[in-house]
Amino acid sequence: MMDVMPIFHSGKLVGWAGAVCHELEAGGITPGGDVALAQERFTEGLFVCAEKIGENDEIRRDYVIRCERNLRMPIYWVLDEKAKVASCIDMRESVKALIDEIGLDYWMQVSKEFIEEGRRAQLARTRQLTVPGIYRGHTFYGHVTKGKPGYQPLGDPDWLYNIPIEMEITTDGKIIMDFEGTQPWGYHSMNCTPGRHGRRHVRDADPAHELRRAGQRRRLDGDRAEAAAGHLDQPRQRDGGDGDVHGRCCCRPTACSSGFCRAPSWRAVSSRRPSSARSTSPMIEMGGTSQYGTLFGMAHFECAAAGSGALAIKDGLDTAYVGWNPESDMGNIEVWEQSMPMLYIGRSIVPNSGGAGKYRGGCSLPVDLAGQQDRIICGWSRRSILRASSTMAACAAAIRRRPARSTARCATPTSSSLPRRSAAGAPHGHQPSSLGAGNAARRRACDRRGPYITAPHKTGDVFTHSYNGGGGYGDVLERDPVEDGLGRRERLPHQGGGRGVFGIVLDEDEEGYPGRRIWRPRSATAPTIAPGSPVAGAMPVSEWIAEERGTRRRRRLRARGEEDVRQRHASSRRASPGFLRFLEGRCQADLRGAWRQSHELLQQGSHRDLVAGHAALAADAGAS
Amino acid sequence: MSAYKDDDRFFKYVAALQDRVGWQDPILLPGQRPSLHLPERPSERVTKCECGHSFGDYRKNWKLGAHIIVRDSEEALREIYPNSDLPDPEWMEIREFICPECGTLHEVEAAAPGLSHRRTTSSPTSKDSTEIG
Repeated sequence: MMDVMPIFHSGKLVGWAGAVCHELEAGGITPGGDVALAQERFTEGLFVCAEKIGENDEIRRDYVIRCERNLRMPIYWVLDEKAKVASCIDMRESVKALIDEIGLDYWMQVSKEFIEEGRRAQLARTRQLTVPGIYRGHTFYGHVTKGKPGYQPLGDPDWLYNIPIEMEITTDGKIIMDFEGTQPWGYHSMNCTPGRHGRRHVRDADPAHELRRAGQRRRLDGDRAEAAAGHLDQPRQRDGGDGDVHGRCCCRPTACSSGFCRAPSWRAVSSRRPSSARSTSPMIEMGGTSQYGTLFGMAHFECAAAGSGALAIKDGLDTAYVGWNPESDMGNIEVWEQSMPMLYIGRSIVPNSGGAGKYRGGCSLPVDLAGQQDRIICGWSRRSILRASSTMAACAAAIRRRPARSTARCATPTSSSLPRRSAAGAPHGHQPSSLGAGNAARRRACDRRGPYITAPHKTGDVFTHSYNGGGGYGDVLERDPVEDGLGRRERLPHQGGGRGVFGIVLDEDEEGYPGRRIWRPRSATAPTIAPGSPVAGAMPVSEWIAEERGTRRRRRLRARGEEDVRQRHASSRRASPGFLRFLEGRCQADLRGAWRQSHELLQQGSHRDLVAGHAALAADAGAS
Repeated sequence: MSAYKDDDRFFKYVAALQDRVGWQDPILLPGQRPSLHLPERPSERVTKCECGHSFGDYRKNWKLGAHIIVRDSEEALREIYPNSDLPDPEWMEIREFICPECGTLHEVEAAAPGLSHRRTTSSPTSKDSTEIG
């Protein structure tokens, strides 16, 4: 939520002050700020359009009442509003004092020059750090939602989004995004407007990112963005939700970064290659009755602190990186415990949970929470089934990256001895097992894919959640095994990782210190073998393409069900003439007819017609 | 990282890379991927691995001349994720593009099975692209 306040001086509008906050709770169909289960906008909670909410530095009472009536925990929303208004007043008064000092005419001139300077600096920096040309990337985002509690029948059972990007860097430093081929909106909470697609891309992946705050203005090519779809193309279609818009727009930098990663290296400034593996993990959202006996609902912004992706010059950071802005952090446990009826049992770091590479990704962060109240529901959002595009987390689309492992998970709540220990004043350990909360395998026995919401907890239940690690960079064969921690106790997070993952073994001297490097394949099919040796399991790309076009691909698609692929392509065709031509040129003859029928359904009717049409096509295919 | 960069940094970098490779064709654009350069032969410009393997004309998708390892099964994924949860191989596969001669890993992609391959390329100097799927 953003508040803006006009600044007048001598009766003239001289600028605007603005302040923005992430809100913990939005009053949607499920508690939390993202409302991951809101598939329609009608279930997203409180809507506030661009509207006037106060006069003379006072927030209107009717607006506050509206917030109180529509939010589970309005105290934070209203408090944030007051804080934003106060900060805007502070900015306004500072600007007015400055104008009193330097004069109105000078202010009007310098403020415009400042904006223009930011624009020029951005262009200059882009020219300095990149090579002009066309950069292409691709990523996916998908959720398995069939049979999940809380899902409405309007939504597709499972969905898979195709997210291509073509980015042109012009010789004068402009960056033009083209999203053609992305699918249109759907009945889920992760739809995205075209403007947000582009802004997120640039903001998170731009090598000239330090200029973001210098007042520069970026512009999306409106025509291209519109043609790309993959968003709520308002006002023509306004039904889909976008409460958890980050779920999709945040995974787009995965593709965008592949271009931004390459561009600086061409200009010999690899150090400026951005960490594309941003770290927004699945976010915990919860609600119920608070420890104060009132309604509560909140999104847990601890997700700010997952492992970051590796850079071209160093490892990623463990559990300590925020992708979207450097002011955020994971927050103190004690502060979070004041806001929710859950107590931390502990936080930890998962060894070897970042992506492998010359520089490894940052490790993931599991947390264990124990409920203080009955009837608490916990859920998690933004969990793509595709690790590469799991909300900015593990980026394999950038240069030679391997995605981080799928460590993000939530656990089935199990009861613990915490209430009894608390009543007795006895200490408790920092692992769920110390509270008798069951072993790790039991606690992990839940569906790890897609948005998820638990059955109501009771007091003492343990909820475990693990945030993402980051993607690695480069070939593990180029990694220094000593730096990897094979012989250094102080690098415990990766102790043994070299041997198990990278196929690297060190000679040891008589005292057990690491010596000469030896590269050994861990198995016959492992690709990480000594440079110069033939690579087992590899095939020419041309042969692989032939296989993909043939029986192998059809077998694999059939094994998974072709519906999602058909739907993905058909919906992209509607939005993208270029993608339509591309598909018709390459798809197999037997699938071409089915896709054409899907396309016709899309042209004629709604998303629901398409789903019904797919079911009919699948039945026909099965009968024949 | 954000420190001042020498004006001739690019040319120093190219010179250092030129010393490192075993071939004489001058490098025009370094590090398209690490170890994958764009040198100029007397009559053509090609994408070339540090080992000397040529992937062909720079305007074509260099991956067409590469070898590939596709990790599309739990067993293959387990090799690089030995002790943690795996991606679902029915929804995602990892494609590793390597040099046919020296085995250098040039690119890794994570993709849904059946992804068209056209959009996984980059072209620094041309809008041309080659469809390979």
